[in-house]
Amino acid sequence: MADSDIILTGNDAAQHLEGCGRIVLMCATIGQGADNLIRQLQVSDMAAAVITDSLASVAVEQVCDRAQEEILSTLSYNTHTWRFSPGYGDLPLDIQKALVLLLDAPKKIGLCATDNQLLTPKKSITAFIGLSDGEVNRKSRGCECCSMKDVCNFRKNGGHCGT
Amino acid sequence: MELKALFDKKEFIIFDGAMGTELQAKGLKTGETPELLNLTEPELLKEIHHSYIDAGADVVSANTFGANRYKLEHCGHSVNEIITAGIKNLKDAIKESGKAVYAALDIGPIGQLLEPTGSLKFEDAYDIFREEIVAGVSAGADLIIIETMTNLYELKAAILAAKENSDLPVICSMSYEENRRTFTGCPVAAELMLCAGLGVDAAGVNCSLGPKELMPIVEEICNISKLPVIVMPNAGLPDPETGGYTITADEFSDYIVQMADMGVSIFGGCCGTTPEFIAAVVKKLSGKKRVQRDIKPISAVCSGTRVCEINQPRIIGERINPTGKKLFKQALLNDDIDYILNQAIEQVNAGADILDVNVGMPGIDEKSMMVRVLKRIQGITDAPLQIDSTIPEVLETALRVYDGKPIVNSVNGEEESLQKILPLVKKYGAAVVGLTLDKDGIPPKAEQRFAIAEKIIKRAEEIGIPREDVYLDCLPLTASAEQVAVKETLKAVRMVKERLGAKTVLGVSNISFGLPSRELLNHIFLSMALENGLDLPIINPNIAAMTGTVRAYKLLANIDVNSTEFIAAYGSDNAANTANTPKPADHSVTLEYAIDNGLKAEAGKITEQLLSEQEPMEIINTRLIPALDKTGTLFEQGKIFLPQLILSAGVAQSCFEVIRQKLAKTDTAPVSKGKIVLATVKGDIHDIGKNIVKVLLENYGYTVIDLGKDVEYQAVVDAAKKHKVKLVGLSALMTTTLKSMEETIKLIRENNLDCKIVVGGAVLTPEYAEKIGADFYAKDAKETVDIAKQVIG
Repeated sequence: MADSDIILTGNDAAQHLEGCGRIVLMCATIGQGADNLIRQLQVSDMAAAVITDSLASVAVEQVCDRAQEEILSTLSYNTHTWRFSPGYGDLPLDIQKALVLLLDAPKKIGLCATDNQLLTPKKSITAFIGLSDGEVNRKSRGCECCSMKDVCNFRKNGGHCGT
Repeated sequence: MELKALFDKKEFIIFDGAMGTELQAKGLKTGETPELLNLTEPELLKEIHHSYIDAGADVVSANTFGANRYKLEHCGHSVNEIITAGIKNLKDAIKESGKAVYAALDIGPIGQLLEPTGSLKFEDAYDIFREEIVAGVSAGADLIIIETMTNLYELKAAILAAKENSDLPVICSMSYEENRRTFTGCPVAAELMLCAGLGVDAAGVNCSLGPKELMPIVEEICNISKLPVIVMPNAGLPDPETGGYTITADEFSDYIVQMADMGVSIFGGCCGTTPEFIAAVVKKLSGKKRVQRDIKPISAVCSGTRVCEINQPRIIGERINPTGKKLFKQALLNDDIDYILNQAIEQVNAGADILDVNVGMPGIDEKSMMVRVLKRIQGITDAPLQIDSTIPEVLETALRVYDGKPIVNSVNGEEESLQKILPLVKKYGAAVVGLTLDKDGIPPKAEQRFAIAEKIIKRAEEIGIPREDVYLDCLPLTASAEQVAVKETLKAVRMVKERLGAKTVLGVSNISFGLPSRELLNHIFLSMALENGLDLPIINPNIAAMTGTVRAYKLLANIDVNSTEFIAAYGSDNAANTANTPKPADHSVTLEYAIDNGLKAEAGKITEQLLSEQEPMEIINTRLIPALDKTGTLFEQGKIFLPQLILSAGVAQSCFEVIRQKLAKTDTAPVSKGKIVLATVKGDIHDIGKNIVKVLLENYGYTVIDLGKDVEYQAVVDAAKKHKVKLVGLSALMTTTLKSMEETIKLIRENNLDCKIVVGGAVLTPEYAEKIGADFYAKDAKETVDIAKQVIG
């Protein structure tokens, strides 16, 4: 990322990466097939569409879990942070296009960003993990560090967003 | 320059190797824009070009792979500047070398996904490519190579842009994974079909894999491609640790020799290859002869992800057609595309292989409706489509935006039709239905219809449409009026099939027009026609006897080998029948119980019973809506969850469907409490939330004008005006698209429309909604319904 002009603005990414000397930058998608299926179900069976949409969201997180495990196993470091993505806390979405281009994601896995910085296919993720030879910032992974915590609909209903 | 001319001189055409990995080796950093070097480092570029020219390449690609508007957005230079410089560097290098080497304009993918998965419109993709091609042509490129494509739709936009804005040879190549499909699911055969149809000069594969892994894909291409084949492999697979590539120039060129023996005639290298690789290829191919491939013509059509070969009877579903269908007409007038999409899904599930699409009716703009409907249908099914219209302009617009190779319905033996329709079919590489009628109508005798069929084929072949792409319709007349003509039609089918070797198509149900028990006649006639050589029955696949006839015929004619398809369709017949057999009406099941418990079929039946006793509005107001209110309240209280709420909504929807059908039968005006416009705002492609709101609103009896996702500001205003709505609902999911919501609201206000605006979406808050000028904020679908009640009643 040092070679690019991507800047992680806001406080939360900086706080998240405190004490880290390197990051792993990654992206994942479960592909266009999921979008196609969900689009079709929205016409024929909306309840199935909603459920499938949720399952697809979980699936792409699981892909990231597996990739993370695989990547981290090849690296040497003392501690690592959890995955952080654009849109978390006060880190804006408007670096998605730059991130996918930096990772050559359109060519490598067919993951692109729209002019409005939305990832396509929809069930896709860009994320980074901080690596530290000392200790990473051990702030708990939860709503307390989220800048949306006061306005979040999930929280108002007593839940959380699943990240 | 013509590719043919080059092939007259050379046995093989050799392209250069990688540019990107060469630039990286010379210090280009990840994250830098490689095409910018055309302006900043011309000597470096020329050095690389020289190294490939010295290695013996016949064609060298300019450094323009990613030189498009989207990727160059923030680089400070125009597409034209960068492409002009890129071609100039290359041509300078060629000139300095003194060799007869050609300069290729290299066109890569835009880097953004096209609709429907992405938000880039086909028309905009065309424009982006056009800009590149115009620049490349005026800079003096000798040919165009469109490569590393993964989406057939994007490839089509690029080819059209190349063909319509240059006379240069065009070579195309897509990137496949080991499953022989691209990322987007495009199979090899679809690429080759599209390229051959659109007049591309050579087609093949590059990138993503090494030559060893590409072997099975190359074999498939060599077996079916009518065009010269190009292959540009990577230097093996990338090593995940080092990012380097795994095979040597020597191994690489050995594989190339094997491919040459299989019939490939154009080679080059992709990622990781170097001048050393190209030199090795040139050396090992020297003295070898090009292998001539013998390709048998096949009849086939395709969508972006599915190829349908007409090598056995294939069902064309006829239901997407407003003729004689009141609900369909109503749907078209209300821009209710979902109604049509349902018809598409239903037919495909029933067994249709191809879908006919006709949206012609008085009072609508057929051209724009056709484009919208086609784009939406190709977003929800992979069945190839048949574009059905009598208006050439509608056909042409549809042919442009279709993702694949469609069938045009239709041309006939009249001079005017031949002159107007066939050139369109040729230009867009489609197949076409040829009706055996002319200015004197449908001739009575088989011989006369055959003569017209012969004429259509001859005229098609004269302008370069191959015979295998003309499907002849020998036109059954109704047996009630023309009983003796039935046999003539069958005879004509047989003659066309046997003597012309062409495929045949029939609109089967015409046979029974005006007679009772039409289904009986239709399926018997269908089996007679199949036995006489019918390939493409146009039928209602939802009628079990019709689809069943085709399946049974395929089994009995030994086409469905081992009865696989038949057993798959009917093997669990008994089980399925028991499940589907309507249970005797259980009087303990009430409408309310059915809605609470997601019992769609029961709810429909109860509604039918109720309709014999009560007025439709009374059922809606006293039964359906209170039941929905109850589930809505449970949802608000967190006692049930979204899927359950939607399941109940789906049940209520099936009740409405029963009511609507009843009203249509009695010619009563449809029930509606009023119209509401819904849209996911411009730039936003996440529309599932909006669609949930739509289902719920419809359940409460509102007519929803659904504008879809990524909707232009003006389109919302236009729809609100056209339908005189009292309420507009806008949805946005992401922070980056809230701005569009604000702009849309602004435009509605500027137009002084007498309507309220409700907004919703994950990142919205009541405060923000107020700030951007909305009248209401709805936290979920249920709340939107409450707001609709308040505004409209």
